[in-house]
Amino acid sequence: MRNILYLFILVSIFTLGCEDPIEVDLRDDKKELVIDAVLNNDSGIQKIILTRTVGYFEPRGSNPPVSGASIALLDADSFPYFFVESATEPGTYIYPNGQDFNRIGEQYGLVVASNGDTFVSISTMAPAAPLDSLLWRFESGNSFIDPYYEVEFAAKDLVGTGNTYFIRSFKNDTLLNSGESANIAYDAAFSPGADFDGIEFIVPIRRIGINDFDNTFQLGDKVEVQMMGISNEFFLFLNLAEQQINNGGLFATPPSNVPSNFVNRTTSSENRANGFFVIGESNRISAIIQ
Amino acid sequence: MNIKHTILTSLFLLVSMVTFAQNYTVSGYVKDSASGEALGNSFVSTTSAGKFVDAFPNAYGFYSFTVPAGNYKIKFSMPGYISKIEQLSVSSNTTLNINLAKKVNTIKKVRVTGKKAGEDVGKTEMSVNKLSIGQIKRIPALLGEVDVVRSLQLLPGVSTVGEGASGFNVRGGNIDQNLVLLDEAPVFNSSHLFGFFSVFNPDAVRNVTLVKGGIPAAYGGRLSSVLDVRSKEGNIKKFAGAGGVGAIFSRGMIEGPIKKDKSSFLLAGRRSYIDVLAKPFLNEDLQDAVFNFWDVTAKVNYIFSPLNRVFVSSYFGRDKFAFPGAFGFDWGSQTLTARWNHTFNTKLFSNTTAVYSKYDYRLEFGSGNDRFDWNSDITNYSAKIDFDWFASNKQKIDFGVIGTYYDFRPGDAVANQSNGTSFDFSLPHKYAFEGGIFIDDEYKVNRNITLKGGLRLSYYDYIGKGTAYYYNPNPTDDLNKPLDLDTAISFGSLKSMQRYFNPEPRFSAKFQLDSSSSLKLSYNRMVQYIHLISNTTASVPLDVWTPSTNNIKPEIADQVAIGFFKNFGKKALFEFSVETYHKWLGNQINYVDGADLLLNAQLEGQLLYGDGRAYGAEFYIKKASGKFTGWISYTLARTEILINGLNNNEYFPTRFDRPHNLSVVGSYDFNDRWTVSSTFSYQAGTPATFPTSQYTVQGFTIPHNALNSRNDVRIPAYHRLDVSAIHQLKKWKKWASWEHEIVFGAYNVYNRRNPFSIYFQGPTDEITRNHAIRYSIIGSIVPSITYNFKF
Repeated sequence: MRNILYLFILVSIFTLGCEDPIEVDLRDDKKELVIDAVLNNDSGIQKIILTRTVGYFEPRGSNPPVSGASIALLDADSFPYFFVESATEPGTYIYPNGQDFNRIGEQYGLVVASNGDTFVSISTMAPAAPLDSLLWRFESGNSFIDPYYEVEFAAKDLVGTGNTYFIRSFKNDTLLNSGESANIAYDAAFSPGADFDGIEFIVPIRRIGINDFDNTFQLGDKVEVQMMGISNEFFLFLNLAEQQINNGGLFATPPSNVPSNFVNRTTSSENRANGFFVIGESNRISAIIQ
Repeated sequence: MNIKHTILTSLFLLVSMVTFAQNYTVSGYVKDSASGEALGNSFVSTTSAGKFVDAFPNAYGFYSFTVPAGNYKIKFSMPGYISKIEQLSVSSNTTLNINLAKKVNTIKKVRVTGKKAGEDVGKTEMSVNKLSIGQIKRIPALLGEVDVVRSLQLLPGVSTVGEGASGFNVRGGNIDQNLVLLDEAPVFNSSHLFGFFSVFNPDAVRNVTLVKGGIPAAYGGRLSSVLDVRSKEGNIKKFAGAGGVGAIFSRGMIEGPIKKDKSSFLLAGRRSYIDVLAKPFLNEDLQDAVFNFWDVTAKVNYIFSPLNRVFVSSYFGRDKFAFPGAFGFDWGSQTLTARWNHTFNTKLFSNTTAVYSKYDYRLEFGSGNDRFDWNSDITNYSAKIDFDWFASNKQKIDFGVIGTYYDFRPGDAVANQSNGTSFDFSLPHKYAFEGGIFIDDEYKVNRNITLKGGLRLSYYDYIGKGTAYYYNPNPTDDLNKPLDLDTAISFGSLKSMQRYFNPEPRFSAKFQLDSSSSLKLSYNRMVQYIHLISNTTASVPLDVWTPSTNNIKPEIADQVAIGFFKNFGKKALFEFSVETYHKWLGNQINYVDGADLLLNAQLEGQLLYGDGRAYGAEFYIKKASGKFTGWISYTLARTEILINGLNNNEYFPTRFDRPHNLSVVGSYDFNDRWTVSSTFSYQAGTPATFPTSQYTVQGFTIPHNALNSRNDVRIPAYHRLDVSAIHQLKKWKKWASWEHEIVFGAYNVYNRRNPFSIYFQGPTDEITRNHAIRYSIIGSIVPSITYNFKF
C-alpha cells in the first residue's frame, strides 16, 4: 500500500509544502561492517561485497572496501564454497560459478570472518517463478514523455502461500535500478495478508522497474528480466530499505534501521554487521524489441 | 409535670424548627433574551440567612437551588450580558425562567468572554478551558477563517505536531486520546484539509469546553481530554443570520423560530473554493483537479412543555481531493444527535441522548476497467441518559448510563484490471460494544472546601461476527518484528470474543484560600477501548480506528493534577493559574519497523505495547475585560514512552513532546470601529530521528543510525506571529439590522519557514549527495481579507 502513500506525498507536497535543503549536524558515528551477499544460481561469477558505513553526508559510493576477510558459504551438508577476494577490486569476494548452488529449498549458511569478528547468517534457498514471456506495446507519449515501448513480463506465482521474489530488469545488459524502489513481490502481489497465491502476477509488478521514463525502451533495445526467489526476511529487508530511502513529507514514518540477518559469533565483541545474506533460484528471459 | 412540659416544649420547638426549616427549591432556565439560546455559562446567586448560595446552571441553562421560605434577591449574571436581580418571595417550589439581555456595546463587537471573570477560583473543576465563539473570533486566523481547534492550541497544555497535522495533543496524549464531541456525538476526525481547519463551523458554534484533567465520570472512553463543542440552538425569537466571504471559503448561517418561543432551527454551511481559484494558475493537465471541502450543520429544537424539550442536530461534511480519471480521495464525518431534556421536578433534570456518528473515507485510482477502490469507515450508535440531581445547596449528584455499539470497517478494497480480473483485498468488519454507568457527587463541606467524588464502571466487549487471532510469542529477544500467527478462531454474530471491565475512579477537591484564591487537586483514571492506528509523523485521514481485541488491551491513564488559582486587580481583572500534572499511561500502542497498517488482516501481529509518562506545569494569566484583553499561556512539559523493542528498550520522547509551549494573545479595541489583535506562539521543536551514516546493498543506499536510537534529536523550534484588524463597516440606512465587518489578517508575519519535519534524501539533479530537507507546510506570510456579516 505504500505506493499509494507515495502518490499522496507527491500530491501533498505539490499542493501545500515547501522544501529547502538545509545544513544539519549529525552525531559522531561508529563505523560498522556492511555485507552485501545476494547470491543465486546464475552461471558465472557470484560476488559478495564487504564495505564499511560512512557518514551520511559523505559522497555516495565512498564506503571504504573491507579487505582481508575470509568468507565461506556452507550447504546443508556443511560443504564449503570459498569466496576469494578479487585482485583488482578490493572488498569484492568472488566464487567462479553460481550453478554450484543448486539445492533449492535447503538451508545455506554464510560465515564472514573479518577483523576479529565472525558473522554468521543462514538462509533457505528460495525457488523462483518461471518467466513465461515478455510483451511490449507502443505508447505514443505526451507532453512529458517521448514515444516509447512499454514492456511487461508474464509469469505465474508458484503454488503455495508466501513465495517472495526480487525482480530486476536489464536494458542492453545494464541493470535498471532507480536506487529508490525495488520490484519485489509477495506471491503475485505486493504484500502478505491478501490471497494472491498461484496466479498471474498483477499488473504493476509486471511493469515496475522495467519502464523508467528517463530511460525508455526503443526499437532494437535488448530487454532482460531476472526473477529471483528470495527469503521472506530479505523481502522485508528490501521493503524496509525502500521505506527508509523514501521517507519524507507529511506521511513519513519514524526512521528506523533496516535489520540485518548477520549475527556476531565472537562473544567478546559488540560489533554489528549491516547488510544481508540471501540465496535463491534465478530465472531469466530476454528479447530484442522489434 | 415538669418533664412533660419540657417534652412538649421540645416537641413544639422541634416542630417549629421543622416548619422554620421548610425549604423550597427555586429552579428554571437562564436564556438569552434576544435569541432564546440557553446560557450554560451563567451564574446564579443569592444570600440566605447571611450565607451566600450559588448555582452554576448546566449546559442547557438549567439551575436549581434550595432555600428556606422568605424573600430573596436573586442575581443572574453572565459575562457580556446585563445582570438581572429578581425579587422573589419563596413560599413554595418556584420556577423562575430568566432572560438576560446582551450589553449594548457588545452587539457591535463580540466582547463575550467564556467565563465570568474570576469564576475559575470558585468552581471545583480544574484543568478546564472554555472559549466562547466571541473570543475565538478575535484571534487572528489563518486565511482569516477563525477555527475552534486552532484556537485551542493557544491554551496551556495543548499542542500539535505541526501545521497540517490533524487533531491536537493534550498534556502528552496522542490525538486519538481526545474525546471530541459535537452536540454529544463523537467526531472521529475533526479536520478539514489535512488539519488546517476543523469541522466546526464557527457561525454555528455556541461554546467550546476543553477538559484536560479532573474529568467528570460522565465522560469516558478516551485518555487525555474531552473537547465538548456545543452548537447554537437557533434563535427562538426572530430570524437571524451570519456569514462571510473569505479567500478560501464562504460561510452562511440562518436561524430562527419555527414557532415563536416554541421551536427554532439553525442551518449553517461552508464550501471552500481553492480549486476554483487555483485553476487559472495550473497546467492544463491539472486543471481538472478537485480540491475542496464543504460541511453543513443543522439543528432544530422544540419545547413541548416547560418540562420537556427536544433537540435534533446533525453535521455532515466532506473533503474531496481528486484528479478525475487518475486519482480520487474523499473523507468526511456525519453525526446525528437527538436529545430530550426533561425536568422531573425542581431538583431533578435529565438529558436523554441518542447518537449516530460515522467517519469514512474513499480512495480510488485509475478509471474504467483498470481501477482500485478502497473504502473504510467507523460507525457508532450510542444512547445515554444522564441525570443532574440538585440534591441540596451543598450537594449535587450527576449520574447516568451510556451504551455504544461500534461497527468498524477497516477496509473494503477491490482492484480491477484491464484484463478483466479483479482482486478483493477487503477485510471483514469488526464490532464492539462499550457501556458505562457513572456517578459524580459534588459536596460542599463548608464555605472553603468542596469535594467531588465519582466513579465510572466501564464494560467493553469485542463481539462477533469476527475472527480472533492468536500469535506465537516472539522467539527471540528482538521484539521489533511481526509475530507469527498461531491460530485463528472464528466467532458468530454477537458472540463475545474478548471482554474487559474497568472501574474508573475520579476525584477532585477545592480549597478556598481566601476570596480571590483557591487550591485544587484532582485525580482521574481513564480507559480507552478504541485506538487510532497511525505510524506517520502526523495523523492523516487514511488512518484507521481499531477496537481493543484479545491482543490489543485497553489503554489506561491515571492523572494527578494540582492547581493554584488567583484573581487579582480591581474586580478580578486578572486571572492567574498554575497547574501541574503527572500522568501514567499503560498499554500504549506502537509499531514494529515496516509495519503494514492498512488492509492487513494480521495488523495485530505488528503492534508493540508499552508505557507512557507525561508531566508538566501550565501557567496562565488572562485579562478578560477592558479595552485590552488577552492571555499568556506557558507550558513546561515532557511526554515519553517506553516500548520494548524500540530505542534500545529505553524511554524516548514521543513525536508530540514539546517541552516549551508559549502563547501570547492580545486584542485591543481602539474605538467602536477598529479592533486589533495579535498572537505569538513558540513551541520547542519536536523530536526526530536522524541517520548517522549510510551503506549500500544491491545498489540501494540505505540511511543508518549507528546508535539505534529513536527521537533523540530535535528539529528547530516553531514560532510565529499573527496579526489581524477587525474593522466594523458603517451600517446601511435601509437595512439597519445588517452588521458587517472586514477582517484584515496576516499569518506568519515575519515569514518564517517553520519546519514540520526534517527528512533526508539521496542525490537529486541539484544536489549530488545525500542531504537534509526542511519540510515546511507554510513557508511564507499568508495575508488575508475576509468580509463577515450578521443580521
